[in-house]
Amino acid sequence: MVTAILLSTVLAFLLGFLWYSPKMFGQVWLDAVGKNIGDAAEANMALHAVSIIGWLASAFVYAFLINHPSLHGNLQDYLFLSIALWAAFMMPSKAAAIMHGNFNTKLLWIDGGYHLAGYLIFAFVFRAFV
Amino acid sequence: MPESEFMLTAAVSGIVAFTLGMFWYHPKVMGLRWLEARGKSVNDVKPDIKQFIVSFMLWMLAACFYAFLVSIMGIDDPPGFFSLSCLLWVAFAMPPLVMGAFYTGYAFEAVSIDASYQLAGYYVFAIIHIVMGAVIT
Repeated sequence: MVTAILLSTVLAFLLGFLWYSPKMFGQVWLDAVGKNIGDAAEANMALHAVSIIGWLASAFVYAFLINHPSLHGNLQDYLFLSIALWAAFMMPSKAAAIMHGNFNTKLLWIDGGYHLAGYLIFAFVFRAFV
Repeated sequence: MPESEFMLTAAVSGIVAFTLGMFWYHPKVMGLRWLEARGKSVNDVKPDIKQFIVSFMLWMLAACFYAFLVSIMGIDDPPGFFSLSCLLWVAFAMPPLVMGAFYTGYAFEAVSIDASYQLAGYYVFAIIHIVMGAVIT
């Protein structure tokens, strides 16, 4: 279980470098928040530490949930859980903040897509290791 | 939990959590501080019915899945409900908001108000489940 928590945290965090690279969604994301590449380069270890802690918290609670006998199942069950957690709890909180702040909705879908991908990684890792 | 009670509890939870937002973001509660943190004034805010509809639907979705988790995990006591609320907030609602705030440089005070509203909404879910459970039984 500890291996799955740590591995899923690391993989979800590393996915961020790919997801927000200029060749994927990085440039669109920068445009959406009104920043440029130079601003993004300022992202330091403290920011990444916050991200790792956030993913670790998610992985820990995900482990707690699937450890319950009624939620412990096959890959399909874990994928359903990941999508449901994303749709019911991650997206609403992000959507509310972006919607009422009149932010660009592209930001919602890029950040939301990243978290969905992260939760789907959780499903595969936990199925493989637990 | 019978299906009718499940749906009723989820619906009431969603409606009350959504309604809480009207108070939470009221100028006399957190509204003015939230606007200041976002660098806006009351005059900049133009109420949009679409935002309310989407917000309502999102709270209903969250309430339904919360009720599903309660039902499938067999949670039936107040500590269990409040623990579930805390865990869901700490793991899935708060991290994306905080990460977003740090990377975008978005005002942390406004994020705190948004995140605490989500937590308050999840506590509302817990309270409604406790009350409805007591009323129904």
